[in-house]
Amino acid sequence: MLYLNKRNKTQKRMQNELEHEAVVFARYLGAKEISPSLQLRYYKAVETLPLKLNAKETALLKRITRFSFLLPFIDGGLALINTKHGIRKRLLVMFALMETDTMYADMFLTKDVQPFAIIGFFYKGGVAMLKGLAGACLLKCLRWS
Amino acid sequence: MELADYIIIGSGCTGAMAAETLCGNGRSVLMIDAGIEGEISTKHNDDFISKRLHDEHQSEFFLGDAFEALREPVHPNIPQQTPQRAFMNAQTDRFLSIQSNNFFPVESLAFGGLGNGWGLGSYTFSDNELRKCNLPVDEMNNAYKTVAERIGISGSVDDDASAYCHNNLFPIQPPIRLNPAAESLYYKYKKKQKQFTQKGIAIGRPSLALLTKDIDGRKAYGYNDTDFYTNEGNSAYRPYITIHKLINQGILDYKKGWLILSFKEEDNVVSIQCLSIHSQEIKHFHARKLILCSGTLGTSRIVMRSLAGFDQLPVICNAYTYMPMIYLPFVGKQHTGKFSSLAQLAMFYDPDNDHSNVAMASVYNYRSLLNFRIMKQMPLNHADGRKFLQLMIPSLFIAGIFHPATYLQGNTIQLKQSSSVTGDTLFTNYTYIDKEEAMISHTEKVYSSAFRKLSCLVLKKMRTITGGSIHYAGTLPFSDTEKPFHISRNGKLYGTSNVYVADGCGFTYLPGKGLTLSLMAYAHMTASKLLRNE
Repeated sequence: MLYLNKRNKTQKRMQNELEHEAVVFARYLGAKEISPSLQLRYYKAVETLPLKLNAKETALLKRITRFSFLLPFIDGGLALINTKHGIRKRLLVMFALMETDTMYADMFLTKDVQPFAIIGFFYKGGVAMLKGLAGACLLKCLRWS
Repeated sequence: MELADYIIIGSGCTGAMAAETLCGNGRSVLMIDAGIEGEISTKHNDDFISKRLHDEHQSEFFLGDAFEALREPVHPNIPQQTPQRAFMNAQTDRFLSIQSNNFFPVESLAFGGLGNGWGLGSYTFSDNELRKCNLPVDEMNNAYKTVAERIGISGSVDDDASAYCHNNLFPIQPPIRLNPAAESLYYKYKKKQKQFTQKGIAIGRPSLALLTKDIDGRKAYGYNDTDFYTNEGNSAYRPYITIHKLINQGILDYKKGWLILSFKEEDNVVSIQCLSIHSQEIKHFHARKLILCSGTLGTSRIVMRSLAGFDQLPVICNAYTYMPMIYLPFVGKQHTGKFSSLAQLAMFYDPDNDHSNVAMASVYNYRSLLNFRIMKQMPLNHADGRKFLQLMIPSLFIAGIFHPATYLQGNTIQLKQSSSVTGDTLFTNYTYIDKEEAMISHTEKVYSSAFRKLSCLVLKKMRTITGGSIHYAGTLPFSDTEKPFHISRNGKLYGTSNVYVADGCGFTYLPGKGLTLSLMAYAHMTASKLLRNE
């Protein structure tokens, strides 16, 4: 009985952590409101898919969920130096879940014809690359990767 | 002992065509197949955009009930598998054991085989290409007509690529409507046509095994852009259409759940040893004649198990290059609801201008496989990547280039005993020599330069791991003189009396083009010759 209680508590704590992680990731990807169903699907996906993090990845995840302003840099840095990092994999899962959710699908579809889209295209790509380079330096200097 | 006139092994494109020819002429045919089934819906669906905006259950549709689309690919050469097509490769690692460092072929145990995922490109081989393959020109040209009539092909009859696509050998339906970006790209080509012709490049509409008009209970294509997930109204030809038709007419006996291990001949009867894929029970089936349609590697396995002598066979495979590119005038343009993920344009590079050494590229728009698959490969953070992709996807084209292939020394398959379920493993080796490598690089450069002239920014040239073209041939080459592990011009396996091969095993060359229509034509031709020579 004691063992079962303990196991339930651990499971509950894990679920809470993953739901919090889901909120941080969804906000980072541009969601204004986060639906409970998205949080639940994220929890299910992480439980179903091989997305366990190692100790180093868990420590980094704790930092970025606490200081979410670091996320674009860390994510971009990992995209340059370690594409198979556990955090990148989890972010991709959230990306795919939002893309296939009616509430957020619009954020992934192209809207009206944009006259200066080509400038925005190169600008956005350039800014993202710079964030990645800054993140890669951060990860290397602080030995977080 | 039940004795069929013919046993056909395999239900893919070649098996379906051989069966239709034989059943249509009143022969008793038993088709034996592993026959793993999937759930590709043929019912009407919303178009891609409506589905994305309104379907509450789209996540299950696009990602799978157990998030299958988010798992690591099961095979290095099938990176973009959708959940609906996962059955195509089910259990192959268990029953078709393979080992290699450099050649990773794709095989199938599915009902309908790899035909379930065929890109529908239907291209005839030119007379010169047929000669290089050791195939009879007139008979193949006649066979193309029959097959085209059966499966329904759409395309253009009078553009620059028509001669490479089908050479007007058979009547075809009008081509599919182009997506806006492809239409613009094609218009650009038309303006610079002379420059391209001088370089040996022709661009036109692809010929596809896709209906643009209703026939035989099959519906015209609906432009809903769910081509990787469904087959609405059976507008795309798949082998299951033929096999269901023959079964429903009561003229084909179909037995599924059996993997064919080997054959043996005794007193003019062929005995086939089969392994149940469910219970591992062994059973024997008997026929007067056996037709092997298990795909080049599947057929070769069966032949190597059945006949003693050679432990190593040659193999040929087209090299394949992906070229993702951004069509700059379409960056940030809005997507329309009606759209197609099937090949939009067909490009042909013919360096000698004689249709003998052509390397073909199919040009696709990217959309319905969703942005997350591209995001996975991009060196950007996900938040900015999402905004970047919003602008990029409408302008994203992917060209897939097939390079022609001939025999090269050392490229072989070998069956060795192992502890696998079938008791053996196929060892494969495939490398390119310098000359071949140089030709492939040269073709890639030519295409890259052509796309730049059309205002495309080529992002990458990615050559798949060998085997990625899913075109394999030449393991049992055609020969006019009787030699072991060769086949005669009428498809008979030398060293046997009643065993025939109706897939690509005999082809001694692989043109840099879509192969499936030629395989189907060859299967029909072999079955017709069998009927004539009975």
